[in-house]
Amino acid sequence: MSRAVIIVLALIAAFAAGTSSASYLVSNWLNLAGQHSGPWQRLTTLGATNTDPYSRVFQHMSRQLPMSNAEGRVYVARYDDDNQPLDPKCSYSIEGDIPAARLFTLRAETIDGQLIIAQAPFQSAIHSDQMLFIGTRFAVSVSALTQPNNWLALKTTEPFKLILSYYDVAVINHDTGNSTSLPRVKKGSCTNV
Amino acid sequence: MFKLVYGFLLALCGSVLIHIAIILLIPHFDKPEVTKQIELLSQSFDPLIIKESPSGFPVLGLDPFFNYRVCVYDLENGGFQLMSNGDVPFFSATLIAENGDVLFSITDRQTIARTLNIEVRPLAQQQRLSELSVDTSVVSGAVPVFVSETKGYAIVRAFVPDASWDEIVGQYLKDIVCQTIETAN
Repeated sequence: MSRAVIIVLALIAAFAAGTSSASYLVSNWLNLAGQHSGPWQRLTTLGATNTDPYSRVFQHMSRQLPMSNAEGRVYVARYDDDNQPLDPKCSYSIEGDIPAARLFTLRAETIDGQLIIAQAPFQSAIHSDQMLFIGTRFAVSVSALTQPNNWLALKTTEPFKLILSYYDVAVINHDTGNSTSLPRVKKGSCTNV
Repeated sequence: MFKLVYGFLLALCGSVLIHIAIILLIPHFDKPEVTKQIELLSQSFDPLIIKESPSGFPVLGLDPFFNYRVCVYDLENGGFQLMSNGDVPFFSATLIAENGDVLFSITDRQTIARTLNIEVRPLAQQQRLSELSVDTSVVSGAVPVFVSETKGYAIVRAFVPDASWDEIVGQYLKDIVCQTIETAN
């Protein structure tokens, strides 16, 4: 094989490896660099002026409106407590302590970020002012089947993710978010329908 | 054998360089996707109210319990004022540079009398205003904000607890003033 052919092949391989590795890292940046708390993930560097280059590209590609730490925090769960992907055929219970936030919302989205809209009057989203609390704790059932108390109606057949947004969080200096309690995502029964 | 090792090393070094170039150059040569979408939908200082995230709407991740008012700004010719008057359960405002950096944010609890009133000016004006001993907050009662990025957009988020608040929050967002202010001479 001539030297020129080797150089051309090496450059093609370099281009393919360079672009695919960049694409892989950016598209999985939330998993790789996000702050993890149980099944919940959050990229703390989004919108920061001194953020790292990968977070900047991740943010660049994202079609989401940025939100500052002072306004609130957005957590994403694609898996349950046992690290299994969220399945629309199953029921889940989101249980935890009431967070130190002015209000919080929980919604279900498709994996590509489209809001799941349940048929009226049901909702695939719920906020803290609508919830029933048990002392200092709350529990929300995420299920396609009707549930008592706090119910997030899951009307989808596609895989989904849960988005938990805390607004007006009690901000402590140098707080990285670890002090914010996050609820558990417990899997319940599944149906074959 | 030497040629293969040479080719492998060339591919390895080349892929590292291409990887670094992609990561570092994308933010320099292109605007963030969300900025492009917002600029497509709204001209400078024109109101853009986003009620919810209907299917196909270019901006994702909108909270269904919030309505949004977006105001694209350009500080080339001075500052701009973002002002609201009304009573909604919760609101927050954020200034975002064209490159996606969050420059400033405020929630209703951090404002005076839960009224949003901020004056955003380019950083270059800060020195000029201090030389003239002008305290913009005393003059207008607004929170003065000086930013280094002259182009960007402001987002006001307002909480809609239920459908009965739709009209009130809608009017609140509609009444938000987003206008240029005179440059200090």
